[in-house]
Formats: sequence, structure tokens, C-alpha cells
Amino acid sequence: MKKTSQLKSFRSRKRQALFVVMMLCPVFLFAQTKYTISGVVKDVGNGETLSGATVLLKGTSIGSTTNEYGFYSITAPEGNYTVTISYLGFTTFERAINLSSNQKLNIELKGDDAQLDEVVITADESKQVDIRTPQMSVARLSTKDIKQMPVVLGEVDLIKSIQLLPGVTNAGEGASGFNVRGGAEDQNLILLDEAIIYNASHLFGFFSVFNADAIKDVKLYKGGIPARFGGRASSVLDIRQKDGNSKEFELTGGIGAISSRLAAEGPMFKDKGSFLIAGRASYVNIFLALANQNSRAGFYDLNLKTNYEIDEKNKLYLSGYLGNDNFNLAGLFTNSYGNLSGNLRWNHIFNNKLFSNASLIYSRYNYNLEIPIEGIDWTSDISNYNMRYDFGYYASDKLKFDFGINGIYYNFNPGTLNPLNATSGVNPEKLDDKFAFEAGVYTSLEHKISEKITAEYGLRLSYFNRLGKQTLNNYANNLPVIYNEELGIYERAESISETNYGRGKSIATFSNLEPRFALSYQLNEKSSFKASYNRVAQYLHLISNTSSATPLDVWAPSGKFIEPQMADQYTVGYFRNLNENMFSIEAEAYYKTIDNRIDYINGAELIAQNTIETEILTGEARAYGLEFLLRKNQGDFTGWVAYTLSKSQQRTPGGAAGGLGINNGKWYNSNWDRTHDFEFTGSYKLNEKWRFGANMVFQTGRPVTYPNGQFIYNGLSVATYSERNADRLPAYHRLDLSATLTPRKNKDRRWQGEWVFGIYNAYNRSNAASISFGQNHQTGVSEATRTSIFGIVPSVTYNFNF
Amino acid sequence: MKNRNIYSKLGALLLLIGLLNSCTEVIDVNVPNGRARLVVDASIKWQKGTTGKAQTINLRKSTAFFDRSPDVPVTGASVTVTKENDGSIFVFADQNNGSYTATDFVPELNASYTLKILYNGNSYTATEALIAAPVINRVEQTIEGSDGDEEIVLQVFFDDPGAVKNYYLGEFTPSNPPLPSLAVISDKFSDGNENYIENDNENNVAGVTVGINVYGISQRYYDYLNILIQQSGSDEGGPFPIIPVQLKGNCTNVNDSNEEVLGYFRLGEFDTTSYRVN
Repeated sequence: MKKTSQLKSFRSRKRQALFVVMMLCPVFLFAQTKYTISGVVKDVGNGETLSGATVLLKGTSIGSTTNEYGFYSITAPEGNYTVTISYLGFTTFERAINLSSNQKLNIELKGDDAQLDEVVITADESKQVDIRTPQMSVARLSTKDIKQMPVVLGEVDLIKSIQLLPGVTNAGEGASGFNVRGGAEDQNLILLDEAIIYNASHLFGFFSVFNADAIKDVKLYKGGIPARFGGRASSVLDIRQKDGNSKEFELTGGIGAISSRLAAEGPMFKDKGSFLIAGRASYVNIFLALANQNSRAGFYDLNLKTNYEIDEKNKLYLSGYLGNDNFNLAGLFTNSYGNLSGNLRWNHIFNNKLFSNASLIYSRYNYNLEIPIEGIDWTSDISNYNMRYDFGYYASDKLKFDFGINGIYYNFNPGTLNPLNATSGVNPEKLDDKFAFEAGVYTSLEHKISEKITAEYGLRLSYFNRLGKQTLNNYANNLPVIYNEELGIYERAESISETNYGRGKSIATFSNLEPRFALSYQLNEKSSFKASYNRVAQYLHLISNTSSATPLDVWAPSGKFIEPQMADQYTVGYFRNLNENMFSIEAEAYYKTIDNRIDYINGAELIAQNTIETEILTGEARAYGLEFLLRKNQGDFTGWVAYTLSKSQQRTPGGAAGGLGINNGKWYNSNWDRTHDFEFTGSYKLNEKWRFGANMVFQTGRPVTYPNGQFIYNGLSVATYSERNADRLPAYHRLDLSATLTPRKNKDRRWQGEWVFGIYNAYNRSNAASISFGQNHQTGVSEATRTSIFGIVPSVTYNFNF
Repeated sequence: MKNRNIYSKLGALLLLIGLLNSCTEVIDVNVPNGRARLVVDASIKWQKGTTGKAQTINLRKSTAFFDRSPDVPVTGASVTVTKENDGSIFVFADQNNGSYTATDFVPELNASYTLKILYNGNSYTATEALIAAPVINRVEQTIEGSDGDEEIVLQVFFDDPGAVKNYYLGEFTPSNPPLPSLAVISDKFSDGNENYIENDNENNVAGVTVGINVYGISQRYYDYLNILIQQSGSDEGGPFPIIPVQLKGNCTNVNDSNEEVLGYFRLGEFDTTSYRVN
């Protein structure tokens, strides 16, 4: 396993040398007197910093975007300029400056629904697609956008919202997680204020764990993943919590069909900081009780954030999240699971060109399962300590460096089994704890080569060390799975001996060079062409062989038997703003390959499995597709149309184990492969009182395996299956509608309320979540049974702000 | 702990919290039709305390999935079982209805047996050992669920020998209708304890008598049945279905190893009891 890594790293080392040369050259090219203007961009309404705002010197191509903490820095030759600052949903700011010295310009932007006053509006450039920077394949959603979309049961949901974007699908309604560009659910790096979230679903995937009242903004990187991110093969979902209103005390909340929310925020530390505390709790329990069900289901979550500005150059942030789900199925089965995370950050501005942030992050996911009738008490968790130090160096008008380091220490407890009571027939058992350390060092350079061409060269060096203490099995010929030639099946090998690894002893190490490259070529003022390549190594694997992941699936680190997943993605795209930025078009094509994708032998037993290696084979995955997005950004009617044509497949040859492999080693469709995926979402503002929203979704049904025959065995009629995922469920489609009523009496009073009426699946389509085949217990006849989850679901939600 | 159990319970929960909005419905689906394949339904069953001389093996053909008459007998085959330790051969006579019977079979615990079938010019074979069964201690009934959605669950108890891996098959056949249901367990988490197999058939209602057999089975047959049980039962899938796979048994065509032969040849001792649901 080391050989291949070395070979790969040797190949990329040549590439790295080239990058370094390119990075250094331009630094020495300028001599003209230049000055720097820097500062922080905030929302005037609540003092929240704005990340991703565009700062430009008008009439030039010199500009920058604000980072995650609202900081920007621009260096330009001495002279007179007009600074424009624009941001999605805000009025563009303009000011004339005389750049004859380094200066500081902190700006507060007004929301575009605010009254106009002294700020001059030239054009609302804020929503146009970014045609200037090389970053592509990124989707940004504001909380405002997310809140306007119709949703099931009125529960505003970030993960459901991003599934309306091109290139993002799921493995069925009610499936937890999401799939980006044909990637698996475990290939998404989900970050909540930089903390890794291992399971983003409430109620097994009906809702996501992110409370929209606590979220500032959301960025989804589908490709061209920046070098500062690593560890997941397919995407990064970067979610930032609000800092809290630093201007005045504010209460936000809502009462919905499923849950109620309340968030409080306001200034603190004598205007040197602010806080946010947001909570949400469900009352599904009540519904179940009303329906005379002896079962219970519910969730809650809590978001906390506070920040303190020590001085102009130093700022501290503390944020936390706690969420939990609890279930009880008629006393037969109880289950709880949840995430916990915390992050302490220190922003330090060294000077007007060098920004830094250091973070100390902890996150944990755990679950518990009790089955009284079987006397089982089962617990499992994964936790990590994460440190990172990131720098942004705004070297000149042509060069911007990002660099930093990152280290993560993981602790996996795959499971502890205890007898639930004295009469239980279960013996206590503990699966082996696993430990690992992951590190990353990266540098990335955004280089404006000419007026039209900007490139970004990035390189990440990642390192993974699987650590003891653990005792691992050894197998004959190092094969934990062997092919039984006679029966044509894969079987578990018996261990021939054991190796003890002491505490902190290295079991296996991996290191990978991950080049990232992006280029933009601006065709004219309205359009550009971009291309990118990224390689990402993923050292963790979610062990799951159900059609969509369940909360009980465990994460396994790479090690002696499991190699890291390696993704390579190539993307090209065309971006254009139309009609005075009224419309924008984004079209992209991608091709992605993933090596070392785990697959499961027939009949694999994954629950409470101490030797995962005897249940798996390693294969590869590939995905390619075309994405198209047309957005209308301005006016009373806004929204988008998204269409994706794609393919996602995997194959698992027998390899060293022998045999042809899983599904005879042939390529087969992944569970989330959707050939056609069409989405429309729109919002229409009729007047100050009424606003209407609609979603339309049409997708090819997900791949499934249908039986190709039946036979009588032991008095039972049994289905027999052939090629994996060769069939498909019927097409999935639905229409959702919403209407928002803002009472007129809101005006001029502090209490602002609104009613949201929604209908999910308006024409009551019975979309198949699954179709299962079997023998009817009564009649003995073979039949197909469709399970559909949501029929037509009306809802009412009341939201308020005080 | 059984995968199926947990996933189907998770699934039930998921549907429940679909706020009773979710539904299951029997529908028409177009499914592919593979060709008719040979089905070997060969279970040598030796009840404790009997001679086990009379045994039956059934040969059939598979049909299209929705075929209403799935019982297609195979006649004209030659069927023998060889006891490997002494070379004795038992001939199973063709009854011309798909069943083949022997009256002189000699069962021996842990002995290895080989099945040979000659049919249509092809030779099929499989080898298995005869596995010992535990003694049934008792049967208990409990109630799962609540308020109108209750199911009577039967549990059959027996002692598991310690320090050795054991696999068990429970066969529950209610009097009305006599559709057997199967359940398998391993002693992975309950080695050396009193183990039980449970049956939560909806046909278990008061007054019904359920015949219960407990077999010892091999690990390989356990793996086979585990998949078979997971993939049968039309109400089992739910939202967390395990991707169904081809069921590969232990019978192979000696001349063409690629031919798909369905079914299994296995031998098991069993203990039996019956229980009247109250």
C-alpha cells in the first residue's frame, strides 16, 4: 500500500516543483509605489460580519472578496479610486478614496430591502455570478433564501434546500445525508463553525440538524475544493453560525408543526462583543400520543455563540452545538443519537496584509440503542480534537496566499455491548477502540496573471497515522476475505495470529500530496470560462450497506486493511450574467474518479462487527455529469431552474481475494445515481402582505435490484436476484407550494410576525421510497410492496422577530 | 444481534414518525425474468430420538417472480447421497412429483455427506456435515407493540454450549395457514448462555398451535439463510433496505460452474415441540 502512495507522491512532487516556481516568480515583478486598503465588512442591521462580499476598485480589475470573518485587503498603485462593496441581498456601497497611504475602511452594508438614504446605488451587482475568481462549483445560499423555500411540515431545512441545486441528490425521500456529484454520503465534509459534523440528520433524515435561525451562511463546494479543506472526497459544506446581533437585543422564533424555535442575541461585553443562543425542540411526541401510539420520537438542538473583540487586531470567538434525537418504538426498541461540538477561535490581524485565525475544535457523535426483549444495551461514538491555524496573506493586487496547518486526533468507539438486565442472555462485549491522527499542511496562491486570466495553485500535504492501542488479526496471505472457488462466494477468512500494537504505536501511516488547481478566463465583462482540478484524500469510511446510511452506521479509519479513498475531479464551466445581471447562467461539466471505495460482500454483517476487514472488498467509483443552473436574481419574482444529467457508478473486482468480484466485477449504478434531475424553485412577492413560493422536482428513480425469479424452498416462496442496481424505482416528482402572510400592522412596531402556509407534495404523489418483494404471509402469493413516505402534507408556521 | 431486526425496527420507526402519513401498498411492477433454474431443496432432517431413515429431497424449477404456480417439479433425475466416512450410498427414488425419497438413510452427527444429482446430462454436487441440535428447554410468549398493533411473539429457549461457535435455525409452522417462518441466530453475543430464537409472525393468534423445530446448522448455511430471510417477507424492506443479492447455495454443476443452481443441501438434527398460543 505504501508503494502506490509513494509513486503517486513522486509524480505529484514534480508538479509541486512547478507550482513553487510559479508562486515565487511574480512576487518580485512590481516596483511601483503601492498602498493597501483593508477592513471588515458588516451588516448594518445586526453587526454580523459578511463573508464573501466583493470589494472592487471601480473601473479596474483590482479587487478581493471578504474572508469568513469579513476581512478584506486590497493593494493598488497610488491614485484616486472608487471602492465598491457588494454582497448578495445587500445594497452596493460606493465611496471615492484617495489611495496615497495605507488605510483602513470598515464598512457596514444595508440590506436591499432597507430604506434608501445616503448610500448611492448604481446597480445591484450583488447577486451576479462570480465570473472573476477561479473558484467554481460553489453554491452559496443565504439563510434568507433558504427560509423562502417551501418545505415539508414548514420545517426550514438547509440540507433539503441544497438538494434543489444542480449536482446534489439523495438516496430517497427521508434518506439522511446527501450526495454531491455522484459521491457517497460519507464523502461530504460537513463543518459547523469548522467542527466536523458526522451525522447531519434529525429523525433519521427527515430534517437536518441545522437551525436556520442560528446560521449566517452556507457554502457548498462541489468541486475545485480549496487547499485549506481536506479529508472528504466529494464536497465541503461550510456552515457558519451567526455571531449574534452586536447592535441591539433581538428575539427570533417560530412555532411550527414539528418544532418550535427561539433564538436570543444581543451585544455584550460593553459593546465589545455579542452573543447568540438558539434552541429548537420538536413535539412529535404529542402527535404520536394523539394518534394513540405508544411510541415516542423527538429531537432538540442548541446553538451557542459569543465573540469578544480584544482590540482592533484581536478577536475571540466561542461557539458550540448540542443536538440529540430520542426514539422509543413501543418499548421494543429505544434509540438516541446526537452531535456535540465546540470551537474556540482567535482572529489575529498581523498587519493590513496578513490575517490569521487559530482554532481549537472538539466534536463528537454518539448513539445508544436498547432492545429490551433481547436484553441488549449498545453504545458507540466517534470524537475528535482538531487544531488549525490558517493565514491569509494579501501580497499584492495580483497575488493572494492562503496557507496553514491542521491536526486532528480521532477516537473511535465502534461499540460497547452490555446486558440490559440480569435476565439478559447477552454477554458484555466491547469492540476494539480505534485511534488515529490526521494532519494537513497547505498553501494556495491566487494569481492574477493578466486582466483576463486568474489562476489558483494549491497544494495540500496530508498525513494519516492509525495508532494503537489495538490488537489486530493476521490472515493467511494477508487476505481477510477469500473467494470460495467451488461455491462462487466470498467468505470471511479465519485469523491465523494476532499482532498487538501498544498505546500510541503506529499501525499504518499514509501520506498524500493533493494538488488543487483552478483557472478563470474572463471572456468579457459578462462571461467567463473556468476550469479546475482537485485531488482529495479521505481517510475515514462510513461502514454501511443499506440503501441509505442509518444513524447506527460506524466510521472506520484507514489502516492495515483499509486504504484511504482518493478522489480526482476535473471540472470545466461557463458562467454568464445576462440582462443587466437580472439573470445568471452557470454550466459545468465534471468527471470524478475515486479509488479505494469500500464495498460489502454478499451477506456482510456490519452491526457489532469487530473485524470489518472480513466483510469488505475494495473497489473504485466514477461519476460524470453536466450541470445547468439558470437564476433570476432580481425583481418581484426570483428563483432558479436547475438541471443535471449525470452518471454515478462503482465496481469492485475480486483483486487479491480472487474471483470476479462483487456483481461479477462489473460496473453498477450507485444507490444515488439519478440520470435526470430537474428542479425549479421560485419566490414571488405579490405585495407587502403576500409572498408565494413553489418547488418542482423531477428525478429519475433511484437504482434498485428487482428479482428475476422465485423458487420454492423449505415451504417458502423465495425471490432470487441477479445484477445489482440494474433496475430503477419509478420516477420521483412532486410540487410544493407556500404562501407567506406578513400582516400590515407589522409596520412601525417592534414585534414582527409572519404566517407561513405550506403544502408539500401538493398533488399527493405516492413516490416510492422503496419497493420490496416477498411472499404474503396470509395468501402465500409473491407480491411487490411499495413504501412511500410523504403524501400531501399541509403545514402552518408562525415566525416572529422582536 | 441480527442486522435485519435492527434495520426493520429502525424502518418501522421512520415510517411511524412520517407522522402516520407514510403508506405501504401492494403494486404491480415489471420485473425481469431470468430463465428457469434448477432448485435443490435438500434438507436432511433428523429428529432427536428417531432413526432418521426416511428422508425426502425435492427438485424443482424456478419461475418468473409473479408466477402464481411456482411449484414446477423436476422429474427423471437420479439422486444419491454418499456418507463420506464409510462410503455408503443412499439412493433417493424418484416419486415423479418432484420429490425423491430414501428409506434407509443413516444419520451420524458431524459426519460429512455428498449429494449427487444427475439430470439432463449434467451432474450436480454438494457436500455438507450433519450438525447436532440443542435440546429445547421451553417456549414462552410475549407481546410486542401496543394498542391494536400487537403481535404475539414466541421465544423458544435452549442451552448453548460455551467456547464454540454455534448457529441455529428455528422453524415455526402455525396450524393456520401452514406457512413456515424461519429464523436464524448465532451465539456470537450469547456464547454459553441460555439462547432463544424468536418468531413474530402475525399469524400467531390465540388458539393457533405452532409447531417448532430447532436445528443446529453450519456457519455457511447460516450465512445463506440469513440472506434468504432478509430478502423474503414483502413487508420487511422499509426505508433502510439492504441491497438484495444473488442467493448462492452450495450445489454446483460439475460440468459448468457458471450455471446458477438455486437451493441448498444441508443436514441437521432437530428437537421439536409444539405450542398453543393463548
